[in-house]
Amino acid sequence: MLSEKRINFIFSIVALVLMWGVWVLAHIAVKNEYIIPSFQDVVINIGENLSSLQFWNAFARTLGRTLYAWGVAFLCAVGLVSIGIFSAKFRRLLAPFISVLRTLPTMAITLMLLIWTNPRIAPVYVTFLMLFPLMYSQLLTAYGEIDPSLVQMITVYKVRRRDRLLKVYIPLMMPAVLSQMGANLSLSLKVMISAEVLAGTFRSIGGMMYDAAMYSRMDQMFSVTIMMLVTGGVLEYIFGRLTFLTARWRGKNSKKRRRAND
Amino acid sequence: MIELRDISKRYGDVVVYEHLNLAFAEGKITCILGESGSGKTTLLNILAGLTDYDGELSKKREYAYIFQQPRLVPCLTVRENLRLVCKDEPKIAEIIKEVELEAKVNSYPIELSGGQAQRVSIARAFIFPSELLLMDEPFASLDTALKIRLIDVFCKLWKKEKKTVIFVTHDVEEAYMLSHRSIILRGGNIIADLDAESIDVPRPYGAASRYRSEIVEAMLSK
Repeated sequence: MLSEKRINFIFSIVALVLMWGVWVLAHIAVKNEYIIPSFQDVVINIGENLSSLQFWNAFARTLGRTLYAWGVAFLCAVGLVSIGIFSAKFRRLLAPFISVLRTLPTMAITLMLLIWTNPRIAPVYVTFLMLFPLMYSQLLTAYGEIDPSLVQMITVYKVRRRDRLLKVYIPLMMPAVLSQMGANLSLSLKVMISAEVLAGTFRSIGGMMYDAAMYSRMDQMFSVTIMMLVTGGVLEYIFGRLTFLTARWRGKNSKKRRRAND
Repeated sequence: MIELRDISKRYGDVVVYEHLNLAFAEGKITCILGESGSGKTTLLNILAGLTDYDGELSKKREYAYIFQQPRLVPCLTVRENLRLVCKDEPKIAEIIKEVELEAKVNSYPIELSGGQAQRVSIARAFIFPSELLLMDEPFASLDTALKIRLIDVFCKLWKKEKKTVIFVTHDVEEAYMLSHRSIILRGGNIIADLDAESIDVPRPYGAASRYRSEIVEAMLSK
């Protein structure tokens, strides 16, 4: 009997093979390298990119900007949720701002930010504005899921605010936060690249894609896209693994779990 | 003396208490017995200030609370759970020894049995600096053997500090084993108020005990 993990892995491989098959068939059917490049050309281009200093420079800058925007959004969300936990008034006051931020059209905000800032900084703001309301809502939902009987207990025992926040609320919110962290990071990479394309950011992955589109270099477009897909997947996997940090107290680490009999 | 004067409490149209007057002696264990819905937990919540009410409570004071479920913070170890309510490390070490949980001090609540978790909850209530201890059926979900062991642990800790305890239960045996005084509630009214001669009732106890018989008779009376 195959485990669920193994079945999922097999299906992922099948899906990848199917996607590759569709690509190969589309290439044969279209017969135009400027519309759909061949698999071989894209693989060669990936190799060229991997050995190119220009690519790594752009990659490092895009990834750095992504991590920066993600980190600032995370810290802001944690900070504001922490205040909101102790002040319902603050939470209510912030709610309309979060709704506005959540519905802001990415295109409009990118164009405005390009006028106000520059192509290097604008994508950071765009990514932050996209991620912050999402992270804030996720954290608030995680707080709402804390057992009310525990909240009553710490109120009864007059646990200090600092301890409530750092030893109870934030650690209890961590499993939900960690499980979404990878997906958020992968999303922020996607948003960052889109914003870089719109902003035409120099020395960036978005900039490389923009150039590839300008010069009709579809092999370059495909190879950079695939490399970013892999990067997003790797980030999502690494951060997804962080849930192990809370595995013991959630009883998810069966080897260490010891149910004693009184 | 902790006094409730002219207390009234209603949930919508349902009257729980109407002009209730009650006093609790300091340093004694008082048991509040009654059927489900008789207002036992509401009385504790009034004393704890966890619910609103009409009337007067003699003096607001610090209290600890032992809940029916242990309510331990799952992401904290036994020691950290105790540290949450008391920063006095020697006192924490001492109480861990008293409740015989030295081997579990670095375990998380999920790694404890039900009885061990409730022992931590009792220890937490005793190390919290308070004169009053409120208990809401803390032994209700445990089997008889475990209940008796935990009652022994409770008695051991209580004898050291002699806190004022108000203890809600529907179990006659618990009232018999623990209380100096038993108050029996029905429909928000006190139908019996019984005094025990001493906490040191002989063990093993039997159905012949006068105090026990009085509690049972009051509980069964129509």
